[in-house]
This record gives sequence, structure tokens and C-alpha cells, in this order.
Amino acid sequence: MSCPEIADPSPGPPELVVHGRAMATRIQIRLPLGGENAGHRARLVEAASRAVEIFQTVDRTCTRFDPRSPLMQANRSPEDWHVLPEALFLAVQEAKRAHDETRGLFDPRVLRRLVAMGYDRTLPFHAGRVVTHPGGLPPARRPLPPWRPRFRGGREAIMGNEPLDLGGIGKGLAVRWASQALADETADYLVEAGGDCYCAGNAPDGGPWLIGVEDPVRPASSLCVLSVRDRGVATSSVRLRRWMAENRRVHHLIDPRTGLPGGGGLLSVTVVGADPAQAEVWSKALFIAGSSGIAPLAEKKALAALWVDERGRFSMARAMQRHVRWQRA
Amino acid sequence: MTIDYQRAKPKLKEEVLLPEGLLAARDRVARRHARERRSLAWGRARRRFLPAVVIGSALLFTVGVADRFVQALLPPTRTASAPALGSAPASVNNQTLAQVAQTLAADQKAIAALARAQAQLARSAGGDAGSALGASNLAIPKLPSLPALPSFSAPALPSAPAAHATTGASVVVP
Repeated sequence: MSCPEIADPSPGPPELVVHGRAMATRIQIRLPLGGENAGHRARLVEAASRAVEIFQTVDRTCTRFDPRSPLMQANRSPEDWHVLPEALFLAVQEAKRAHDETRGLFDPRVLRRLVAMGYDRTLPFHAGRVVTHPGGLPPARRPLPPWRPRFRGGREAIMGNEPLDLGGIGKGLAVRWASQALADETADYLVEAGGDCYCAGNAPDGGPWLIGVEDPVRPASSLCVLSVRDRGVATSSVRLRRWMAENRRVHHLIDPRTGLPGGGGLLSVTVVGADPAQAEVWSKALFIAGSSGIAPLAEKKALAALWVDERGRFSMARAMQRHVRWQRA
Repeated sequence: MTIDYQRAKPKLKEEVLLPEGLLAARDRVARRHARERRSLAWGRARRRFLPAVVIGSALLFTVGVADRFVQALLPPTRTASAPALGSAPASVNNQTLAQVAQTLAADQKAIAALARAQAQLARSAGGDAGSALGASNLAIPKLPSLPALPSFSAPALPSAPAAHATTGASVVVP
């Protein structure tokens, strides 16, 4: 676990920037400052440190890459009752809620499929081309039976009939809980974790927070810039987490209906929503819907979504238009 | 015979008979009656029109107050100001106008030359039908070259504003 670092003040409007590391990504917390006294500033630093710790707690309890984590211990016998840490218990409950809300498009029971494609450890995606040799790719499978986890008291749960991968919701939940920790001290802040974020109140310059949307074809540039206030922003993209498994190109966003990489024709989906965890869930569910199904689903659910297809063209739902401050011509 | 009706009007009997004091009293009563009639008429008019005036004024005042209140509630509207034309675009416009005038003059010259050529053609056709199209004899004047119009470049699209964060593929930190 790494300790949070307080960055040097930037030359712009005064703000406090705290960095941390969790979930194999970088955490950034930005707090605009405006005449706080020393006591309040100390409390802000403390709240930011607490927020980073929340990420680390969620990482520790919900990771699938550590066989000693509470999630992986429960995954060994998912049909038995387990006493879970609070973060994991709440995460499984939230995953079930998201599963029901998306009518099964979001489903954490994809762990076996990811492992079968060689994604059984943190792969070095940052290093470039990744190749795995899982020894035989699984064929498409029939849809899983209904997922019926059970909960008892505030800590006990039966995970269901399959081991779970909470990677599709864990980061969004961590952003939500970290934001709640900061909201006790200030109304203006940004919590950002590897592409997912929550923007509360105003930016240091007094305006809304501006979030660039990465172009998955040319990652160095932005497709558009979103203007958000009190909103979470999440993106599901296959730009980075894709690899070759047995000479077959695969990625990490598994369609629960087939057990194979989903989202035919799409490269990335970005969703803006009031709750960062919901935004993350819907970005994945919309991705799974694929290029043919995403527009009707986004409009039906009135989601503020934009997406990029394999040709690099980007489109957006009506609800997203009011957030777009700038877009590439 | 002319009759003066005024003079012929007979004097009333009591006027002759009543003493001066009574006559003065009668005049006073008559004046008081006249005054009271006027007063009554004014009062009647006041009763008839004053309520309408008062109510109308109150209504106007209320509308004014309500308007002030609504204006105070509404966010101030920004007047969209048209971009001021600077000296450079004005000079460009003048230059363009001058060049359009030159073009028009050149067009007029060309039209006149074409008309002359047409007349010459008609004359030759009338005089010698056999060599109607002695085209080599027709001197079609060379059209004057048009002055080049100034070129205007479209304004560049504004660049992306600096973002506070980026959403995209989750960057893996080794």
C-alpha cells in the first residue's frame, strides 16, 4: 500500500492535490482552496487521506488478483455462507442491484471466463503487446442461470453459483465512498481514479469541472471535453486491456450472455451520471450492448452516454449533449 | 309697427310689490340653490368617475410593482453584442468594393465589344449572304482580365479547453 502524497501547489488558482495508488492505478484528489484557515486545511488533508484509504480498502478486500483477499476466499466456495468485510459485503449487494437494473448486461460472474483467457493475474498492459497461453480458449457458453446471492445481517452472504469479479463496479464504488468522505468537509472536489471520477461543486477557477474524453484511437488527444458539476464520469474502453490469447484478440469486457469478449463494433463508452458506481455499471452494460444496441438502450434509459466505434467515429445520446463543452471537429 | 318684446315684457306684480330685503333674500336662496346644484352635480360626477380612476391607478401601480419583482427574479440577460468591425475588415471591404467596381466596368466593356461584334456580323450577313460567317474577319475583343478577389481564411475553431481530468481507459500503474 502506498501513502498519499500531497502535490506541490500548481501555479493556477489555489488547490490541494493529493495522490495515491490503488487498484493498479493512480488516485488523484483535487480540493480547491479559498481562504480556509489552518485548521480547516488540516481537516481537508485528513479527509483526502481518508478518501485514498477507502480506495486501498476496496482494493484489498475486492481484488481478484490476490488469492488471500476476502473476495477470493469467498470465491473458493461461493455457494456457502461467508462473513465478509463491510466493503465486500456492500460491493456484492451493489453488484446484485446493478445486475437487476441492467437486466443481466452487467454480471460479475465472468471470473472463470477471464481466467480461461489468461487474465488470471495483473497483466503488463502498460508495456505494450500482451500474449497469454491459457491452453485452449473456451467456446461460447449458454447464458448463466439467474444470479441469486443471499444476504444475512450486515456482513454474511452467499455469493451465488459462480465466483465473482467485482472489477466492473469496485472502482466506481470506491469513487462513491471516497466522495462521501470528502463531502463531510467540502462541497468542491474532484476524485479521479484511472479514468473514472466524481466532480463535486466547482473547480478551482470557480467554473464547472472539465473532463477530457480520451480518444481510444489516438489516446494522446481528446475527443471532447465535458463540463460537469456534481456528477460522476466513467469510461469503459478496450484500448488498453486487450491481449492475444492463443492467437485470438480478446479484451476484458465479457458479454455474460456468451462468456466471450463483447461490445461488437465498439472501442469505448463514456457515461455521466449522478452516481459514479452507476455510471461505471452503465458504461459496461452499454458497451456489452454493442454498436447496434447502444443507441436505443441509452435513449431508453435516458443515459448521458457517448461512444466510439471501431472506425473511430463517436456518437452521443441526447442527454450527453448538454455536458459537452467542446468537441473535436 | 315694430314691437320690442323686451320692453313689452310686463313687470311682475310681486317684483313691484316685494320689499328690497325680501328680494335680496330670494336672490341669496337662488344662489344657494344654484351652488348646491353644482355641488350635487360635482358629487355625482365624483361618485361616478373617481372609483374607476382610483381602481385604474391602483391596477397600474400593482402591475408596475409586479413587473419590477419579476424582473428582479429573472437572471440578467446578456445582450449578445455583435463583434465590432475593426479597421482591418472595413479596409478589406473597401478594397473588395473597388475590385467589384472594376469587374463591373470590365464587364460593361466586354458587353459593348460583343454588341459591336454582333452588329458587324449582322451587317456582313445582310451585305453578303454567301460569306455570312467570315469569322476570321470578326475581331472579337479580348476580354479584360478580372482582378483577383482577396482571399479570406475561415476563423480557426477554438482549441480544446484545458481539462481538470481525463476519462478513458484505466491507466495501469506498474
